[in-house]
Order: sequence, then structure tokens, then C-alpha cells
Amino acid sequence: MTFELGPVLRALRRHPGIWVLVVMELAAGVTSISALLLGGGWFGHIGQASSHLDEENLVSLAMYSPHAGEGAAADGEMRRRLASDRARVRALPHVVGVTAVSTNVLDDRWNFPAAFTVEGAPSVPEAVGWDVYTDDGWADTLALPFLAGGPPAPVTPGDVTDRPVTAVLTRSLAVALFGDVQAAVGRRISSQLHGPVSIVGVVRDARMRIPFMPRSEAVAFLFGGAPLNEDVRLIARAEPGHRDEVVVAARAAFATDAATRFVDVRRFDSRRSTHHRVGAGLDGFLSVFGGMLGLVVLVGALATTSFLVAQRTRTIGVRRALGASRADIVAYFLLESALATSAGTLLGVGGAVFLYPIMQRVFQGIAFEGRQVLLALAVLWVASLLATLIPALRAARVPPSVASRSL
Amino acid sequence: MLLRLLPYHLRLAARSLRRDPGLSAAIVLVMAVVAGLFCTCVMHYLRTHGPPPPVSSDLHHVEIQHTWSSVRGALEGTSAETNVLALRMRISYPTYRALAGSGIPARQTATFRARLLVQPPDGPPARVLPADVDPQGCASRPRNARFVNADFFSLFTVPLRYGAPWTGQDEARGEPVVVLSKVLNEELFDGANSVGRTVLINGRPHRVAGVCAHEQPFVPEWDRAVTGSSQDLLYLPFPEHQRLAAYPEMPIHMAPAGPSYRDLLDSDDVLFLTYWIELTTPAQRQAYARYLAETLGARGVPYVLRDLAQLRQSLRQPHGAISFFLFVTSLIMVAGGLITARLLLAKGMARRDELGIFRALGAPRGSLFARQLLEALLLSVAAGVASLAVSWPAAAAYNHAVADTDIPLALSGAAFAITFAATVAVGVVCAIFPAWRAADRAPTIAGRGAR
Repeated sequence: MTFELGPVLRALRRHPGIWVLVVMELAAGVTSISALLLGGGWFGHIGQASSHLDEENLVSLAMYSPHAGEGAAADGEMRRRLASDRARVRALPHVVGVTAVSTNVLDDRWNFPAAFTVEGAPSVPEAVGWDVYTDDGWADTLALPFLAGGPPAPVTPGDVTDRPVTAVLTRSLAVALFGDVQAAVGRRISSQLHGPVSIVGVVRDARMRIPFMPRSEAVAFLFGGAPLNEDVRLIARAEPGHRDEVVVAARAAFATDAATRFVDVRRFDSRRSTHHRVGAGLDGFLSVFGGMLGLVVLVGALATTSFLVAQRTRTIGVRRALGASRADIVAYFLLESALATSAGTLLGVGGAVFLYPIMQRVFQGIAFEGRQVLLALAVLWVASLLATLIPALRAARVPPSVASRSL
Repeated sequence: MLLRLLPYHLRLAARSLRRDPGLSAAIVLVMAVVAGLFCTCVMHYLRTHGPPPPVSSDLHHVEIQHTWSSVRGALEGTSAETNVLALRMRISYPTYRALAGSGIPARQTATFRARLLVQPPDGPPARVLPADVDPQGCASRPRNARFVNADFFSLFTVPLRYGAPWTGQDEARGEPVVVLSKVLNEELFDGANSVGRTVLINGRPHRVAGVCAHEQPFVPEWDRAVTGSSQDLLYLPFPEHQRLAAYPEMPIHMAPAGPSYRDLLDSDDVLFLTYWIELTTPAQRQAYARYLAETLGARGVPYVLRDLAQLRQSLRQPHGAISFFLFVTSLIMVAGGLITARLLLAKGMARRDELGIFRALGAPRGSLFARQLLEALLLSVAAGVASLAVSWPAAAAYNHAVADTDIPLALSGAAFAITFAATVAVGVVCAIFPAWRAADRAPTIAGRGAR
């Protein structure tokens, strides 16, 4: 098999319009498929972002109890109900910890972030993050390793206040506010949701809001003073290997509850959350779009190449009569296609690079994943060569006698 | 001349389509697929940025201006950017009472959303979800409920399929009534006329007064901040929120408030509701502006009174990923157009002998050019129609696999019209070069094959 460039370049010059179109369509194709894959990858990546919790042993309990009404008695009733729910879960076999959190990564309802300020800071550093109200069971249940300080002192029932007094920050929030985790302990911060709270510790990052929310890992765990509303979210930690037993036992424990409650007990599994489904769904959806575009290019290339081969039947016959082997004919068409495809796909990669700054503005934190662009390039390269190979193999079967038919 | 010969050229163009059925089919397939992809994005784009549903044009809204640059800065450009709209649209309960206390005889409504436990009339009263039951499939569960005043339905043109909204008198008497959304009525009553039936809301019986005719608009004018989330499933009289002690969805705290429900209602620093008033005459507008100056202005509260047109201008939905993907699918349309151009060029080359004969028989270049364009037009029209075969399943796949909201992505007439027009335009524009090449045949070429 010989790859001769001269005849190929001559053939390209013979139909310049067609080949310019091939290059342009491949360029547009690579750019579009790259953008679809990069965008889809961003959705998939964000949607599958980890909660950083040890989910394997956690159980989620989402409860809705109609508000007990207005006034101190109703507030007291809601507090008693929450304490009772916690105690019932804690008493279940194989439960090693239980905590109430005002929100967690499974909660797909929109929420408004908190703007934190440092008390007494000369320039009032400010950072945006999320307030999560919780309680004494937090340390045992979430088991987040401390990077500085430690858990708050236990609050006795008589000390329950309407507002939190202590907080533990995640590393992201501590760094945003103080530049370093050690510097955070002992300082006081406040947000628009609560007054000043003392920071007693800093833990490893944990994602407590859906990852499509900005800075979902910047969290202040607040101890006490949670708003009294209808939704209660408990997280329970089971002994390793006993999670399913805890789920069954918790369902049974709440089955006899009052007539107007809604209780959903399930494994704490962020892979079954809405954000995970949306992220994975969009990733798959946009990838299918990219695949369909690749198919379209394949069909277009196949139709055109078939036609060009048919047009050149006599030329092929002449080349065969002059001694060209079947492999030479195939090589001739493949080289012709490879030249145009390479030019088009490389231009397309340039287009993807050009689009990237725009994507950075739309998809915050998107990474230019070279493999996605290479995949787009490879798909179209292979599609284009495949589209050439089939008619080229057919052309190679043209007998030398065809050259003399019109004589 | 060209118009007179149009039927003749159309006939010839249609005949030439049959001459190269493979190439014609490839062109239709290519254009149909890219148009289908484009249409799917147009559907998405239109439901966020399309023309808003008709509402009273005399509606007015008061924005309380908060300077909260850090949060706004953090939210802008993210998928949570609609929260900025919430910050601008929502007001506190005391502010609502001030705005609603003008005494001007005008239609008005306050509104906010909460989650309430809805139980069907014959459903199980208590619910602990059994294993493997998705909460979404459970009839008795918390739902999005919206508290509104009686004028809400006429101000925002929310048509009812069955029954009628409650009246101001019902509201004043504290009648336990409810208007169900189309979706909830289908779920609880199989879509039948449920007016007069009873549903339990947070354990209290409520009589169904009406049922909405349509799904909620994707961008609900009354509360743009909930765009993209699940729709409102039931509407309750505004004063009912106190009886149910309904905690609002997404309250925005500007300063700490106590944990109880009363703390929430008393705080001037917790924003959670939206208030609208219809001011139909200049006199009403002046009177209301004076009233605001005397109440909010006197307290030094920065505010802006806007009519609906100004509000829409000011609170535009942010352009995010969907605008970008619309651009990408437009690029895909261009790629499809280039493929079509290539195929048309090939088609023209395949028929150059035939075209040469036409030229030899006296056909002017313009006539051949027009015929090629007509052929492309016919192919584009076919592709535009065939794009439905892609966009429909794509919308269904999106609703199944992504389902980011319970308002389904649906093919609208506008989306199809835009796609059809774009397909035809791209098809015809991309046919110009091949048509020009085809019309450029010399008459002598016709004889070459005969030699």
C-alpha cells in the first residue's frame, strides 16, 4: 500500500467547494460536541459531588409534622416532639448517634445562603456559606474529623436558648473568613440568621447543601436555637453493617405515630438524591446530543464520499489499469479524507478553546477536560474515516476494464 | 416571471428529489436531527425567556432595596441566581401589612409558598413510607401550597377548569376552601370535577372550590424566584396561613429573628412574601405613591414602585446554561447546514449533464438557480416537519431522565415555529452556493457524454 500525496492534492483541488465544506462542518462539529460534552461533564461532575460524609452507615429520617400553632405552648410542643423523635431513634438497636440538622445534602428545596462576618475584625471580612442548625448528637453522628479545636460542650435541657451560642465551621468557611483553620478557634462570627456565636472547632469539609448551590461546603454548624418549623431532618449513625436493620426498625418505630405525620426513613444515599439524578441526567442527555451529532456527520460524510467515489469510477479504473493495487486505491481515498478531516477537527479544537472562556462564565468552576475534546475529535475522525472506508473498499473492487468502457 | 413559473419549477424540483433518493434522504435526515436538537433547546429557552402569560398590565410591585452585595455577588452567575430575584421581590410581613393598608379600592394580593401535608379524602391518614416507596409516589405527603388573596386568580389570569375561586367574603369569614392545581387534581381525583369534595390539609378539612385548567407557568409572574422549582399544587386563602401556622419556603433573613412562628410574622427582617396591587388609573397611582411616601418614605425605607413592564425589565431571568446551549445548538444547525450544502453540491454534480441540457435548451441561469433553491426549500420543509420525530422523544427523555422540575418540558407551537423557520432558512441559505455552482454549467457540457 502506498500513500501518494500528489494525486490526492490534485483531487482536493478538483472539488475545492466540497472539501472546504467538509473542513468547516467538521470544525463546527468538533466545537459543538466538545461544548456539549464539557457542559454535560460539568453537570455530571457537580451532581455527583460527594457529601464527604461517611454515608455508608448513615440513615436519613425526614419528618413533616403540621405546626402546633402559635404561642409559647405550641413552641414547647414542637421542641418536645423533636426531643422525643431523637430519643426514639437513639433508643433503636445498633444506633450509635442521632442528630437533627436544619438542612442536608439530600434536601432539594431552595434556600438562601448566609453572609458571615467576623466580630471585631478591623476590615469586617465577609464570606458566604450555609448555616446548619444542629444539636449535641452532631459530633457522634456525622463524625467529621476536627482540624482544630473540638466539639462544643453538651447543652443540658435547661440551657436551651432561642439562639445558638457556639459553632463549628468547615475548613472552607474557616479559610474564607480567617485564612487558616487554627486562627478560627475562639473567634466570634455572626450572620444575618443569628447573632454572634463562638467558634469552638473546625472540621473537614462536609457538603450540606445541594452542590448546585454556591459554596455548598462552606458550613457553620450551629448548636441550639433552630427555627421551629414543620420539617425535621434527623440523621442517625448505625453500627457498621447494621444500617438496613436500623432503617427497618425506625420505620416500625414511627409506624404507630399520630395521624397527621409524614415520615420518610431511608438510607442516607446522596446518589439517590435529586441533584445526583439531574446532574447525571443532563450529562447523559447532552452526551446523547453529541453522539447524534457525530452520527449526522457520519451520514453526511458517507453520502458525500459515496458520491465522490461513484463520480471517480473511471479515474479509479485508469489507476487500476496503470498498476495500482486495491490497497493503493483504498489508501488514496483514506489519505484524501484524512487530510480534510485533520484540518477540520483541528480547527474544531481551536473553536472549543475559543468557547472555553465563555463556558467559564456560564459554568462556574468548569475544567477544560482535554479528554472530552479529544473524544469529540476522535469520534468525528473515526466517523469520517469510516464513512470513507466503506465507499473506498467498494472503489477498490472497480476492475481495470472500467477505464476502457467509454472508449 | 419567476412567480408565474413557480408551479413548473416546483414540479421539476420535486421530480429531481426522486432522482437521487439516497442523497435527498440523507439531507432530510441530517437537517431533521440537527433541527430536533435545536428545537429541544428552543423549548427550554422559551419556557424561561419566552413571552410571559397574559396578566393584568396594571399590576404594581414595590421593591424594598437591600444593599447586600456579598450574597448577591456569590449568587450571580450560579444556578442559584434566582435567589437574587427573591431578595428583590420579597418583603417582610410587617411591610406587607403597611403596603396593603393603603385603603385604595383596588384588586390586590399577597402571596407566599409553604409546604403543607395534603391527604386525599380516602387516603391513609398516617404515613410512614414503607420500604422502596418513593416519596414522590405517595399520595399523602407535604406539597407546595401557595397562600393568595381572592383577587390572585383574576390578576394573574389563572383560569380554572372547574369551579371558581373563593371570594373576598369567603376569605373574611375564614372559609376553609382550596383551589387545586391541575396536577394535584389528576393525582387525587383522576382529573374529575372535584369541586365540593374535601381534602385534608395539615389535618384540617378544606372544601375544593376550584381546579386550575393548566399547569403553572414555568416562570410564575407572581413569584419569579421559584422559577425552575416544583410548581404550586394548591392555593389557599391568604389568612389561612395563620390558622395553619404555615412556615414559608425560603425565608430570607436580613437580621436574626426568634425561632417561633410569631417571631417570623413580627420581624421586619425576614422576607418571605410578595405583594401586588392593581392601580388602573393615574389618580390611583398617585394616591398609592403618596401613601408609600408617607409610610415607607417617612421611615427612611428605600423602595421603588414599579408597574409590571418596568418590573419585567428590571427582574429579567438570568441567562445561564440554556442560553449557552441554545448557542451551541445554533452552531449545530450551521454544521447541519454545511453538511446539507455539501450534499447539495454533490447532487448538483451528479446532475450536471442534465443541467447542461437544460442550459442548452435555453434555460437561463436564474431559472436553474431558483430550481435548486426550491429543491432545497422542499427538503428543508420536510426536515422541519421530521424534526418533530427527534424533539418529541427528546422532550420525553428529558422529562424522564432529568426531571429537574415537575413542570414537564413540552413542545409548544412557538418552539416548533421557530425551529421550522430556522430549518428552512438554514436549508435555503446553505443551498445558495451549490445552486450557484449548479446554475453555472456551460451548455456545451451536455454534449460531452455523447461524444
